[in-house]
Amino acid sequence: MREYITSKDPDAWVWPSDWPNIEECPDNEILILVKDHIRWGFICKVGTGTGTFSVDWGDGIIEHNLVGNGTTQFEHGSTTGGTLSNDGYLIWKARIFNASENITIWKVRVPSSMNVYSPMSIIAVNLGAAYIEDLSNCFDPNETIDFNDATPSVTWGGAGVNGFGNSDLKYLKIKSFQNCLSTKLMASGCNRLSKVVLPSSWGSVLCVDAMLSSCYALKGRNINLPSSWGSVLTARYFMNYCVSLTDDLQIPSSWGNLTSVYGFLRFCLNLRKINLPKSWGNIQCIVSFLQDAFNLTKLVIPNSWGNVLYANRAFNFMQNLDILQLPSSWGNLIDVSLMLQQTPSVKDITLPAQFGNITKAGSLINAIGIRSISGVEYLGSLTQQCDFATFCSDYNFPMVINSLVSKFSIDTGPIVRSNLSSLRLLNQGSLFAGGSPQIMVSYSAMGKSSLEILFGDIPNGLVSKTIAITGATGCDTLVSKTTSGTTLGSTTVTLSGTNTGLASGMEVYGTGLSLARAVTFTDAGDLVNRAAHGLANGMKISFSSITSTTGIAVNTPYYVVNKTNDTFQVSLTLGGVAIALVTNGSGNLIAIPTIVTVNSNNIVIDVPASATGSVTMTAGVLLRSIAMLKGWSVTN
Amino acid sequence: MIMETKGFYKYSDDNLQFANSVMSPDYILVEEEKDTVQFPVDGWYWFEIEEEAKQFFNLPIN
Repeated sequence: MREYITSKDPDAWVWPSDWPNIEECPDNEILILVKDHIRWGFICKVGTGTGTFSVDWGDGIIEHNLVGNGTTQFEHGSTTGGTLSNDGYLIWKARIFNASENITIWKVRVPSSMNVYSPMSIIAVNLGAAYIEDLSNCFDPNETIDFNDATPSVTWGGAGVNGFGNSDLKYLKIKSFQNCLSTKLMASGCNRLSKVVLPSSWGSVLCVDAMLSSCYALKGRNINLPSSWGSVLTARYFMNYCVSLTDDLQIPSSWGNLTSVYGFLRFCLNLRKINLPKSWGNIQCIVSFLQDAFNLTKLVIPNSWGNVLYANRAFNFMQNLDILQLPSSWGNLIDVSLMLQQTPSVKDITLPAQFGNITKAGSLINAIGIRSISGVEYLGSLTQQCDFATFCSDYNFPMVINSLVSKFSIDTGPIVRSNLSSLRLLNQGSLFAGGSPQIMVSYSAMGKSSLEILFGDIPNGLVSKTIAITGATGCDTLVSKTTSGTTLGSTTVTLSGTNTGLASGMEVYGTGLSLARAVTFTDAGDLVNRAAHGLANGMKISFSSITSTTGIAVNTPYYVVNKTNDTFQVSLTLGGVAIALVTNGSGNLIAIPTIVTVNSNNIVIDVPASATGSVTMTAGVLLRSIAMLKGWSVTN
Repeated sequence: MIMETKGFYKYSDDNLQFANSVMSPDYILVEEEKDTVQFPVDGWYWFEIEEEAKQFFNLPIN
């Protein structure tokens, strides 16, 4: 039987023929290749406890009996000799050897004569030292990164911010992690790193955060991840920005003890395939997990969220993702904000058809081109207030939200409008404690009726809230008449100009017209008192402030019942039973007038003016009073 | 197309709000009264263009 080799794997990294080979390294030694172009030399920190070691700098200079306390820096500068490489540079093979005790510390950095942000000239390292305790920042001691899983944030510091690190390193082999606790930022920024040979076990490693971040040249087949995560707890930004990953990265079939994979494959722009474990295991944080994996079209995630709490931005900006089946339950998730933002190829979204406990859903489905969606009515929480800020943009379906809501807004503007035509926020326990505006449906397709229904959904009793409706289809053009004349107690408002734009049925706003007017409350008889109040039975009013009296609440609409010239009672229903008022008191009454008649030089309204003066009277057909009686400001 | 950006602006909760008018139970803000109102009113100011508002609130101007 003849065996034909039809092709070589063009993506497999092979040892360059012109490099001194260091693929095999004796125990407790470290081999380093250094390339001379504009610089040569490096600083090396070695720790061997109380022992000593030797360094062969590769140019004939060998130093013996060096004390390796892990702090002292050993530096070797300009030199001679070396092996000529094909590209005309000289390569030296340095060697750390003859250690009298185990090498436990090893770090390198640029020579002291160079800027701390300069890349080193080390091109290959074989760590035959099996007892190194900490490989974090071993190539770039100045780089830092910190994460906050619960309030997702990443803070970079040092050289890594600028994408440097050891940019010449192409080969890295590590014999063992048996005593190593951390590989955090180990090769971060080594953007030419092409081959990584890891031990078969993670040994004692607890943290691999950003270990291979920004290793631009590293292909999946050129790194052998251990088959198990062992004792590793966090792998945040593990292969962030590894833009050469395509379809051949093999990750373990279980997440083991990992609790956070924040940004694990973030910005892997060319990733086309990844096989994930069938369970999230102990993972609580998958923030930005595959964010900006532009070319991944199909993703199979576990059918349960397991222990995951934070999934914000998990699949954010996966521009070509076609298929994503979410679990049928929200599990323990708290934060799904931005999870599917800018995933325009995901046309059909099936959200769980049962409530979880989501408190952050902002921008969850802020994507264009959604063809179908279900489960929005179960999104959020029935026990916690949920943030729906910039929840969606292009959205062609009526939306019903049953969750408690702290804020709801859509991502629109005067140029990019939303097709959202109906929104119901049905939970009367919503506190709308989010930032102003607490509801924003500006530039949506919501008509007058939809807006008024939404106004009606607003819970009673809240204070200082705002709903923005600028540019919504049903947002009317307000008509303002300056120098209009009001007279205390009169329902006639004189016009100084024309009556153009005014019509009966329009609501009227202005000083002395719609603003609060003082009242008193009497316990005996349950009366609201205001001389010549002019209100009719059946009118809807509310109180913006109440002092001493109980039985009624602020910013809660009531119907006028049993009115006399100077008093009336209030009821929760039209023509209903009067509410018992307890304790005499005072307050401010809100009543929004409506135009009854439009004459050539005046209008007649249904609520008498509360002051005499020359005012700007504004009128509109949209019934803002539905929201204003609940204390809400309406902006348009 | 040149967008007209005159109107009322309010900056709160890291958010710059814009409104052509504000109808509140406690106050009414309409363009016709912008010259007679003493700002701020509940945090609202009048600006002729958005850039002025951003400058006033020390926000980056694109």
